[in-house]
Amino acid sequence: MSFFWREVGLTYLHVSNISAAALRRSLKPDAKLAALKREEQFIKMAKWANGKAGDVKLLYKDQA
Amino acid sequence: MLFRSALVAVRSAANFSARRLYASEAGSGGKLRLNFALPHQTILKDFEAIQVNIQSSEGDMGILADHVPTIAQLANGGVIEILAADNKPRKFFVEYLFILPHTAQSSSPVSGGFAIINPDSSLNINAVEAVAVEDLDAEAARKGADEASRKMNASGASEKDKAEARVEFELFEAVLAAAKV
Repeated sequence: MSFFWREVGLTYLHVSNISAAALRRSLKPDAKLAALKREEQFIKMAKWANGKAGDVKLLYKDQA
Repeated sequence: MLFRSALVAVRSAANFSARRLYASEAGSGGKLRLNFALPHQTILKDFEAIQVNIQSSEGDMGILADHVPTIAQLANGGVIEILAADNKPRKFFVEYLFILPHTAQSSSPVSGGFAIINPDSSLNINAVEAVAVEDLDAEAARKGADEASRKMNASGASEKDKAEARVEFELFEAVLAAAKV
């Protein structure tokens, strides 16, 4: 089976996340509030050198 | 329904293949054990269900204990209905997910967006997002669908943008269908 989104170069993960985000937006206010908190994702990173952690940096999705 | 007859064909084909062994060898004791997990939450763990209904792209599917390990893909957005002995209705709405056969006898692979029917009648469902059907807001979905369809038909939008809008549109339509029930 071929998928229309595959034909324009979207990946399964990408499509799945679009779909999940759309689902979060179609919730009743209470549930939506909790769900939208999950939307924000980030990576916490630090570069280690000589056995010591460097500065901790937060990377957000739009900076990736 | 066309999809339905295709599914029947797939099922009867599976009955005659070597895969049949998995169902007949299953030592489940007639019980379906369900694991239902999201990245941020375990909804059900080792839950004893009588039947699990899912909406696959090939039609609706009811999964009982000793089900033949099957491949089916859920449509973009669908309801998972879990029937248990306590008769308490449990309905969840999930975005995209797949059903995969599990061919090895070892522990089951777990990845995002898949449901796996194992030979021992355990069923693993993993999705990025799942919510209770009661929490769906038809009004919000209607607005989302309108906006997505506008984006889909916008002139000057790239094919990629249009495809993304179509994914959203399908999901909102599925939410509307589920919220009406």
